[in-house]
Amino acid sequence: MSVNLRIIPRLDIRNNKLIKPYQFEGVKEIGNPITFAKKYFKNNADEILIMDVVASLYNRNNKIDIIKKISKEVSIPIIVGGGIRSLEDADNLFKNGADKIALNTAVLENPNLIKKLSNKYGSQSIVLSIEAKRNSKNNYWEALNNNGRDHTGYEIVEWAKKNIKLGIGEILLTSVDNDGTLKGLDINLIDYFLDKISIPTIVSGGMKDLEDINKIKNIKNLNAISVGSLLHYKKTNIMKIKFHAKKYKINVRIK
Amino acid sequence: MISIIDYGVGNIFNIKKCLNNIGEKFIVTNSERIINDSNIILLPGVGSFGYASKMLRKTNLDKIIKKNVKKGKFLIGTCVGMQLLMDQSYEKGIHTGLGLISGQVEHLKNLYSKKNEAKYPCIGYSKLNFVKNNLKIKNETNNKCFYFVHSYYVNTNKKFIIANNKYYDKEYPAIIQKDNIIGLQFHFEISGNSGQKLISEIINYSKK
Repeated sequence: MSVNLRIIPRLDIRNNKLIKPYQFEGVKEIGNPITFAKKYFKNNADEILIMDVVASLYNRNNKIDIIKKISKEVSIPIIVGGGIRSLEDADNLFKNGADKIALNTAVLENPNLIKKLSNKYGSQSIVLSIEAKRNSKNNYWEALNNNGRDHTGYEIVEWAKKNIKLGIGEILLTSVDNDGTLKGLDINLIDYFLDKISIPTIVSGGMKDLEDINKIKNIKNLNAISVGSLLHYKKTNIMKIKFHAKKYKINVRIK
Repeated sequence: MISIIDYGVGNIFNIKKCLNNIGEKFIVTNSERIINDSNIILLPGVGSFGYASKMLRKTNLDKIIKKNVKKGKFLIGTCVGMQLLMDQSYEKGIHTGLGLISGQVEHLKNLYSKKNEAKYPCIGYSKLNFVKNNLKIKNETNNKCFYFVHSYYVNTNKKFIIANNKYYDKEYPAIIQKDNIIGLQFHFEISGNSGQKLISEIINYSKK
């Protein structure tokens, strides 16, 4: 691997609280996202991913307040996703400390939004969030929306390519089947997807333990992993993941 | 006092935060009088080159910046702000830059053979490969990692290159300098404590 693998803690938030979603259903509150973000930054996180799980209009100002506070504490890139539906939503986040925004539902409703945003902020700040679910009946991975609730009808690679043309610069690929389950990273999914996509991808969902790092060492072009439960429940920490990666000759940023 | 050029381009939230953290006085401005009165000009930039250069010209800031640089004032361009220092860019068309350092802005893929698996944009942290230390950056700072996120790079004369970045098997300029003009391709403002140290050392160098 040529680039340093980025380790990105994923903070799913709901009403100001860090939560642990389980396969996007069912929820458990864990604590204050600002405290966790600060801790991860100090432990050498490469970026911070904040996903607003039940984004609503009512919730919007709360989210901006959290982003602002987290951004004051950390000096690494912050990616914010969940409920971004307009240029105005995006402007508000960028103005308050977001470096990248992750889009999902809005892309299906309004493909023009990607074009507008990438013209204004550059495609490098626009992340497409793909929630991949195995459709075993038809034997393919389908891109889902809205925290795994809605179907796009698109196969994931097809969906990604369509949006790369519109101007996204990075992809967040979440395995809906493995998310929050601690089943381990979905290696088949990751391998299949990365091989066909020309832009960097952050893979997310289900990292089980340090041995997962062992499994990814042969995947070419893996750029970034986002880790949630494993960190929140202190089953490991970021530096441990990085030292483990180094052991397998995967480049990481130590300082 | 540092003038951060305000020309309606990109996201300067984190640049302001970073300068606050290192205790540097700055003002975000497009006023000629204030820019003339400041010691250092910082030209930020995120997004597309074409839009950024159009905005600079529209606000007449291109002439104001050039006038100040001619008088010997330090100018630090970051990311697209660094690319704007060049003669021209081939990002979505051909666009004219400030022409302060000779060179072109080209797509990273021009560096690689077609078979290369490199992904664009280049996103992530890397260590720089310093070829000279004109900027007097401390050893403990120059072996740290900095955050890159871009698809275009500056193709310029070797003599202006202070440090390169290696992406896959090729190198391209990460820091350039010509006299009082400095360009940084990476984002010091989101490169953690290392980014704060580096920009602080470059600012100190510019003050001397």
